Formats: sequence, structure tokens, C-alpha cells
Amino acid sequence: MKRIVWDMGKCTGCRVCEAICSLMKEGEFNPVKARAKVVRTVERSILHKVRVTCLQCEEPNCKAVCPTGAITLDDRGVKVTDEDKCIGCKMCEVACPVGAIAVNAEKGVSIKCDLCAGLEEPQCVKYCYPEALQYLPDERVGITLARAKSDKYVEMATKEA
Amino acid sequence: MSRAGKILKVDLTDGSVEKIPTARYTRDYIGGPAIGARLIYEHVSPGVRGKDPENMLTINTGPLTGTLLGNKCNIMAKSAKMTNSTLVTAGMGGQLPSEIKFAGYDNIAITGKADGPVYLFIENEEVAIRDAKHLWGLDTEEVQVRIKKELKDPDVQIACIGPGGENGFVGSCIIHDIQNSASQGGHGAVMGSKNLKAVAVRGTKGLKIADREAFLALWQEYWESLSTGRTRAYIKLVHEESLSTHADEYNLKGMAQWGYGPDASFNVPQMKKEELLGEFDRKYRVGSIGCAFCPAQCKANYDVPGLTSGGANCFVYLTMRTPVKNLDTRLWFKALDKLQKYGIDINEITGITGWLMLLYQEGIITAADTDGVAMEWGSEEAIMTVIDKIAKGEGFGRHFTDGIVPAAKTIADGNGFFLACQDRNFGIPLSLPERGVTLSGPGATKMVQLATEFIWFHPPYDRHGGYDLFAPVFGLTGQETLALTDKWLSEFAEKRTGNPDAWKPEVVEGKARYVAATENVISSSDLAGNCDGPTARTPHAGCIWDVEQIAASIAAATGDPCSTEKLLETVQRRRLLEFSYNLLCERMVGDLAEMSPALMRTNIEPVPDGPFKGQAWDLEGSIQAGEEYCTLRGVDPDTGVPTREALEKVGLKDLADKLEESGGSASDEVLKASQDNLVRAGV
Repeated sequence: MKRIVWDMGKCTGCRVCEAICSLMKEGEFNPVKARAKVVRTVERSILHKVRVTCLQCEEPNCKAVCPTGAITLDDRGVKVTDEDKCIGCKMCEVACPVGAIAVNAEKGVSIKCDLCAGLEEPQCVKYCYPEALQYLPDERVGITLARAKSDKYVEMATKEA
Repeated sequence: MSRAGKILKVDLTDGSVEKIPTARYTRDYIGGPAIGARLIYEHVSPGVRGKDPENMLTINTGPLTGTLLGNKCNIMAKSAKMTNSTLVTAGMGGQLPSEIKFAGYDNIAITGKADGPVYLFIENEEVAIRDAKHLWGLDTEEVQVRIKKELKDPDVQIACIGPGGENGFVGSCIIHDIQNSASQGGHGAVMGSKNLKAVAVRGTKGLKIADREAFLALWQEYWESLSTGRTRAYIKLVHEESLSTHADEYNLKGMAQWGYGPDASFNVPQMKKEELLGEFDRKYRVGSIGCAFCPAQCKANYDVPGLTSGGANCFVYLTMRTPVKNLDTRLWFKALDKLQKYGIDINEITGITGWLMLLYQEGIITAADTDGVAMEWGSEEAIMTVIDKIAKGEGFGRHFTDGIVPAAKTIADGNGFFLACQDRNFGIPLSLPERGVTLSGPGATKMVQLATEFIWFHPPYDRHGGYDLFAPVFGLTGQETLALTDKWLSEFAEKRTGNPDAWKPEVVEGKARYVAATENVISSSDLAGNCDGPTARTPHAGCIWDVEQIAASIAAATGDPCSTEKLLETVQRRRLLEFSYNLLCERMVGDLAEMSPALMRTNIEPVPDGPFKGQAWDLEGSIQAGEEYCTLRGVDPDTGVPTREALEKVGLKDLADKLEESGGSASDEVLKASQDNLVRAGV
């Protein structure tokens, strides 16, 4: 399957992915309803940013703990929530190892990234200006990450003692 | 649709909170500072001074704020800095403006004065005035950390003041997050005068878009304009290489060549590698920072071990360097960090410090006048002392509490007044006066200044390395890039004035229209809450986002009809409202804020060297352009008062009546004071 790969070094923390996600999925600009979140932390006037969204676990805890079987795999292999089956128990929130799923207060059901089902590519990837997000088949992820970090690799390997 | 729907009005004196429907104002004022100005006009008497409790501090977002096309707010109040207490607006970005919208408010208006230090906490419908005694005195970084901890919410967004604003220094700003500030209005002092340490906001509501497809198409267009013009090149440099790698050439040498140095003899010496900003940047940059939902993230974030950490945008690279003859980049950053923590405008302090150094050089002051510290050019002790004393209001710093004009009239018995580089009490770094024709005449106000800055300052400035800086990104030579820049400027000038040369400093024909067009773009983006940086305000940067696109975006986002004509009419209404109200203020308060002879002189002396050698201020051309500008705006060029016809055309009959009742023309006096200064300056 294809999935989103985030390059920490390229990400500027602009939050365009949050905005576009909530607009496309919920029809409004609202970070609370975005399935992708940029966690901003400021310490000593230095910004640290981490983009959090569903990583598409191979053995998803959210699916395992769901008491109603609301989280299933669609035909692409993507973990999706069936809003009709979800009872809003929030067990998936507790189980998710990265905090990428949460219950939408208005709907009372859990919402998570479904990689923009029905569209050619996830819209956050489409609009990521610094190209920090890529939508890649599993097989290409390894070499892409290696490429992204190759400069760092050389720097470390040639560092004088 | 994309509006939050409510205006929050808080009175700190009695603690009352009122929520007004934004719809009451949107038809005539659309949003942003136009609504802010209307609120102040309705609630604040013209006689109120900047630091009076009756003054109203307004934080104004626009209908696009919080969407992908908008990320800023404008803070407006009767300014503490302007001695005639007129309105001044300062823009601020970051994460706060959108958070205000998500909390359910388009504008926040704060009046009154709390008994003791407080901060305002807004969380959706909940509005609380909380005690801030324990926060008073803290710097702007610490206070944000403490409030987030206290509220147990690291995502709360905070606008605050530091010791500068608490002590009433009129050059104080409002600071938010890292390197976001509402700087040049003196609004920090207004907050301080209200005993208001901070405004903390948390919102969880959403903003709907009326026409998603149209909106996204416009956003794509915006995107394209960012990606193809020089803005793209700028962003690329900021992110991938470093704007500042070239900044030393671009700033220091270019400025000196253009005659912007603190004195005509200042030649930038060969700098050592470790002194260069580019070297500093390469070593210490840890990332980029910017506003919510903006792909540009146009500021640098630095961490300098053993010194300090923080942010810097392209503009502050110009300050605390050439104007004070400081070649030490570490000192520049140290000063910048300190100013951010005190919540003080770097422009203002650079202007003051450069002026004191000039007085010291000329023998007008000695170390005894500055508490024993010699104001030597580039001295770390001098720079840090000025910052500390002014922020804390101690020693000679007390003279500056109300700005550079009162100080210049006091220090050394006023003998240094004519060297003070200021414009209506706005301290200006000695390297940054806008050389060339400044629109004088009765209609000249800060707003025109702002527009002229981008006409007179940037295009010539670009000729001193600007094109070399961007050439590699385009794969062109420096000269080819310069030709491209000229083409962009000419296209905008022709579109807006019919004269493709109207942008050129020496050309008068079409100048007034050019200034008004630039002003219209700035004001339109203010109203919308769209960042004015990458708009046609800076055509020389290849930016094409203009009034037409802003109007279409407002319509797509709000669902309200908003034609270009309607937007321009609203800009004109805001302009006349502010201008008329400011006239009433001038008449009530009486003080006249004059433009400094030093600034005029810098304009009048011919450029000493470089491509513009010999060029000087065209006084007659400037007056002609000023008169044309007045006519365009519906202001009588002889009296400087908006005409009844123009006011009634935009539905401001009440203002026409008030202007008639109050009589006289303070603007005449302003013009006369400026002319007297010219005479005294020997021009």
C-alpha cells in the first residue's frame, strides 16, 4: 500500500496540512477537526514541531481495542473508521501509540486519517509546500528516507574526532 | 461564513464584557482595522490621549484570517507614541490571529484600566480577567511560559508586553510567540497603561467557507504567485540557503553606498569572516518560523550556545548594524533578543541609539549625559545600556519614555534636536530614512509614509545587491535580474497609473496614483486579514496578488458579494474615517507631531555615490504629487480637510458635520511646523 512519509528536516511547521485536512474532511478550517496535527512546542524561543497523523500500523491497536469493530481495513489496506458503528468509547484514543486518533466532539465518533479515500492522493501531501510530505508505496519508503538523511550520514561518517 | 461572527468588547475598569454581532459593521467596513477604526470612532472621544484609560485597544482580524489565505491581525489604538494621539495600526502574525477567530471573535476591543495588573483569558465563550500581579515585571518569553503553565494548556496563544510596555515607553510593542510583534504603534505602552499584561486566547471552533471550490482555486493562484515571482526566490533563500548569507553585502555596503550610513564618511570596512551574518546564520540557524497556515515561514530561528536563542526576520537584519556602526553579529543578535524580551521596537531603539552616538561624536553630549557610558559607535556597552535604561525607565532612559521628540528637546538642552532622525515621533534608524520624494502636503500621514516607503526605499535599495542576491535562484545574471525587477515595477505602474515609469523615484507624473494604488493593496489585505507581504504592495518582488484577487477571496470565503469596486470603496471609507478622526484628534489634543529636519535633510542632500549619485529630493514635485494625492482621496489640497462631498459619498456625513463644527485646520499647522523645520535645517 501507499502511505505518507514525513521528513522532519524539511517540515517548517506551517500547519497548512492541518488546515487543508479539516477543510477537505469537515468543510471548515478547524485544527480541532484535522486528522493531521502539527504539535508546536516553544522552549527558550526555539520552535520544535512534530507532525502527527495515523502511521497505518501493521497491527493497529485502535482496531484491536475497538469494541464494535468500527475500525476496518478498506480495499487499499488503509485503516478507516465506520462512523455508523463507532460508539465514541474513546478506547482507540488510549490505544494509539502516537496520538493520531481522537473522538470528534460534535459527531461523537472517532476520526482518523484515511489517506483521503476517493482522491488521487492525500490533500496534505498535494499542498505541502516544502515537500516535507510524500505519498509513497511501502517499497520506496526506505530509499527515500535514506536519501533524505544521506547528507547527515556523510557528515557524521566524516566528522573529525 | 468565514467570519467568527462576534466582536468582543471588554472594559477593564468595571470588568464588563459585551459581545456585539460583527454583522453590524461588515456591510460598510468588511473587517480588520476598518471595523477597529469604526469602533474607536464610536467609543473614544478625539480628546482622549494614548495612555488614558478611555483609549481603546483593538485587535482586528479579517474575514480571511484563520483560512489558508489569511494569518494576520492588525492592532489599532489611539497611539501613545503620536503626540497628537492619532490612530496607528500595527500588523501582527503568528498563531494568535487565527486562534482569535477559532475562539469565535473577529475583533477584540479593550477599554478602561484595571486596578492592578491583570491578563485577559479568552476560551471560546468564556472570558475572564485574571490577576497578573505575579506576572508583572516578567519578560515576554517568561510570561508566555508562565501563563501556559498556569492555564495548563501549551497551545494557548498569547499576546503580551514586557517591562518596556509596563513602564510606559512609547516605543514598546506587543509580543506574541517567537518574533511576532505589533511594533511600530507604541501599543505596548497602551496595554501597559491599562495594567494589561497579556491577552491569552484559545479557540476550538471552525470557520466555514462559502464557496470551497472558488476559494481553493484562488488559493492555488496565490500559491502560483508565490512560486513564480521573486517571493518564491526569497522563500527559497530563507529556507534552503539563507537570506543572510548575502545580507552583509546587501545591507551594509548597499546602505553605505546609498548614503544611508550614520554619517557621510561611513564606509563599511572589510569584515572578518566570523563577523558576517551569513556565517552566523550557517552556524546557528535551527529552523524557520512564521504564521499559522502560511507556507512561507519567512523568519529564521537561531540557537546560539552561550549567548541566547530566538528569531529574526529579514527586516531586523537592517537594524542595530549600519545605523550604529555595529559590525559584530553576535552583539546584533544579543541586542535583538534583549529587545524582544523587554518588548521594545528595534527600529525605535536603533534610531535612538544611533542618534545618541551621533551626538557623542559631534561633541553635543558627553558620557556624563548618558549616566557615565560613552556613546561610542558600535560599543556593546553603549547599546546594551540604552536598551536597559529605556526599558526600565531609569537614568537618562527616563527622557525617552514619551519618545524621541520629547527626549531630543530635553537632552543637551535640545541642541541635538535637529539631528534626531524621526518622523512624527517615530524614531527612525539613521540608515533607513526614505530617500527620495516623500509625499508632503497636508494629506501626508503615517499611512502615506508606509506606502511611500515601498516606493522610495525598495526599488533603489534593490539596486545595491538585491538583484545579485536573487540572481542565482532565477539562473540569471545580476543585470538580467535587475531588468526583470524593472519590468515588474513598470507593469504594475502601467496597470495602476497608465504611466509605466511612475514607480521611479524621480518621476512625478502618475506618482499620486501609484502611491494610492499601493496603499489600496495594503489596506485591502489589512481588511481581509491576508498578509500584505507577498502582495502587489511589493511589485518589485514579482508579487501580483492585488485588490482584485483579495476581493474575490473575501467573496469566496464569506459568501458576501465583494467586488473590487466595493473593496476599494471600503478602503476609501476607512481612509477618510481615520483621516477625519485624526484631524479631530489633532484639534482636540493640540500637540503637533512634526517631521524632523534631519530626515528632510537626508532626503535633500544629493546621494553621495553609487548608481543614484547626485539624486536629491524633488521638493516641488513632492508637493505637486501630494496635492494630486489629496484630490484622489477627496481631501481639499489647500486645507488638508476631507471634502463634504467625499465624506457623504461614503456615508460619513456625521464626520463632515463634526469637522465643520470643530473648525480650523490643524493640518495647516502641521505643514507650517514642517516648513519651519526646513528653514531651521537650512534647506
